[in-house]
Amino acid sequence: MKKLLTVLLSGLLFIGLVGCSSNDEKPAGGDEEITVYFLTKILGNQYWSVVEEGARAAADELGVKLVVTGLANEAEVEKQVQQLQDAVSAQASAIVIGPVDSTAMANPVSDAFKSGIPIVAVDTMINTDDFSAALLTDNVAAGRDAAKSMIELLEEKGVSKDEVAQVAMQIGNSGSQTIIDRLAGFNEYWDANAPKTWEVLNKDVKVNDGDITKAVNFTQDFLTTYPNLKGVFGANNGSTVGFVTGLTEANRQDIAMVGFDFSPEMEKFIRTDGFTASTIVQKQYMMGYEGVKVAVELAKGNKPAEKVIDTGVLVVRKNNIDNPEVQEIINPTK
Amino acid sequence: MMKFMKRAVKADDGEVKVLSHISASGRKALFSGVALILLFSFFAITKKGLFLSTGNLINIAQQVVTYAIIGYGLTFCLVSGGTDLSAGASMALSGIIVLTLLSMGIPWPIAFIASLIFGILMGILNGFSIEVLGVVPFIATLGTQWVFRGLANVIVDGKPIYTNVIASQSTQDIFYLFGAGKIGGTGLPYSVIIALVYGIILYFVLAKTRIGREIYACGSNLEAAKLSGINTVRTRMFAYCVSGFSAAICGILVTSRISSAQPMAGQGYELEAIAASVLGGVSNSGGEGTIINTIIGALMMGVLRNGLNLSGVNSFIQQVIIGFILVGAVALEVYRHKKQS
Repeated sequence: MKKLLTVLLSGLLFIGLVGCSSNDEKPAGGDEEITVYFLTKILGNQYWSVVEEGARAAADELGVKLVVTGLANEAEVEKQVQQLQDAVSAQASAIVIGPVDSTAMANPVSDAFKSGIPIVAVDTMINTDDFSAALLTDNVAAGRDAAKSMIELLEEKGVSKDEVAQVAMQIGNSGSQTIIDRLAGFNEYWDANAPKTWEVLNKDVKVNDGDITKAVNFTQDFLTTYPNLKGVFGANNGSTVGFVTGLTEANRQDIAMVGFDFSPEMEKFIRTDGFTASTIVQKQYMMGYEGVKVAVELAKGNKPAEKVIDTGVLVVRKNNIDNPEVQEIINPTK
Repeated sequence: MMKFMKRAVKADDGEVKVLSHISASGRKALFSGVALILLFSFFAITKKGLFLSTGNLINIAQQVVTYAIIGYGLTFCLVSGGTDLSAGASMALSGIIVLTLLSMGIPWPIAFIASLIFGILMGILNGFSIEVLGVVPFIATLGTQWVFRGLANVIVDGKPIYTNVIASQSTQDIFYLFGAGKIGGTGLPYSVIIALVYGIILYFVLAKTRIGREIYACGSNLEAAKLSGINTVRTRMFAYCVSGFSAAICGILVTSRISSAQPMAGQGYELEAIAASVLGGVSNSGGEGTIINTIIGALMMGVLRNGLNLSGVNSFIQQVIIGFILVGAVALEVYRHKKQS
């Protein structure tokens, strides 16, 4: 029994050490009493790790303590509710949250907000008015930018205005408001500005559930099915990578491509001679960075001028990829 | 006559064994209870007011509900010598069933009962695959996990559905009470009361009734249980039904709490529930453990998670710590067994 207790106590000691070491992280000289909880959406995810980097950079710069918690997958709504409650119990000075589900998180966020702690949503909107600020991409506007870029690319490729040209699309999942907005923006700009003979294949939008293998297969099927296919549009990162892989494998340099988000695959594709591509890059680093800054201001009692802040997007192509202002967004840590 | 005597002796032997196993669970409950108190005191000392505030203690209780209820069901399966990997998926499917029924305008008591009956049916399917078709529990319930998860996705076409599909506002309000509502004044959530009452009932079923003792007998020695005249098929089937039923209760509570039924909800909850049960002292090789062990284990996990969140420990490190503690706890158990024998 004695031995067992020893083992147990040493286990507790271990937790204690970890617990304390994280408590000692407070940078010297800053607002030591301010602790911001950052509830990221998916831990270890490419996109969210950039948001987190931005948040950490802002916390370091302002000298506040940042506590990061997150989820293993998008289905863990209940866990995010718990993390939110824990942040409230911990009397966080402010909470920055990437809501895992706009509707399901509405009540819990509202409860937390009513406890008096400022809440800043990043990346995803929350379906309640009970939050202090939100920093996100205006996805309808981003969709319009994507359509504008697609038309430019097709014109550059020499597709004429009275030629039949088809554009295929695929998406990650059909329920997400983000995707719905991007497609709406894309179609809105397209209908107003593209030649009448150019057609978006809205009746055959493929849903790949974020599975890259599926996305590649869909690309191949598009290439087989539509002889007049001139362009493809991926409305999220997974779809974009699927198109990149599919087009590279088939070496279809005649197809123009517009994607979303920035990945090593997309960078290589944009830089490859022969292919014509652009990608709509969200400023997720800025969401994390500005999100924490706004949160700290709120903790000090200063409200931002606007409640909902559009962080904007950037259209990245071969001719601007090495510009400093583009590099700053796609490689923020360098 | 000889044959009958032999059987009687075996039955006697089985009874003695069962009793010794229950008292072993008691010792383990004492042991993990001490660990829980240590853990609790640790956070109470390091995080003082934050951890011990009424609000936070209620949070912990509310957070533990899901794992505890799924854990009850798993404890029945583990004690009977099996396991149920389909519990998380059953939970998601039950949640979707109850919200779909409510959206059709069916009164909530009927929708609840229907969902709970469906939970029992899922248990029967598990029990049937294992006891009648002879598939080992690990594989059988892995298969049904996919079946239930798939069905959940099929019903709602892979998208979450929200409680605003319920036409009547009063039904929406009542439904929200179960998972998120608090008893006026005290601030105690209904879900905690439900978990507690349900836990007490199951404690008595497992520890004090005939079927409960038969479950222990099956788990400690299936052959001996058969020879002593226990209908092992029926007994173990019952354990899976308890698990399905518990998952369904959980499905209703979680759907209410997050105002939505998510087809991918509850992924890995069965593993968390197994971890909680084992931490509390339920043996993963069968025949040992009571609902008290499960509750203690679930509280340990809850206190640990909450305390680490309050201490600002990042989620990755939390995983590492909880993983080590789980392995450590089972290693201690193995060590004790070796020493005893």
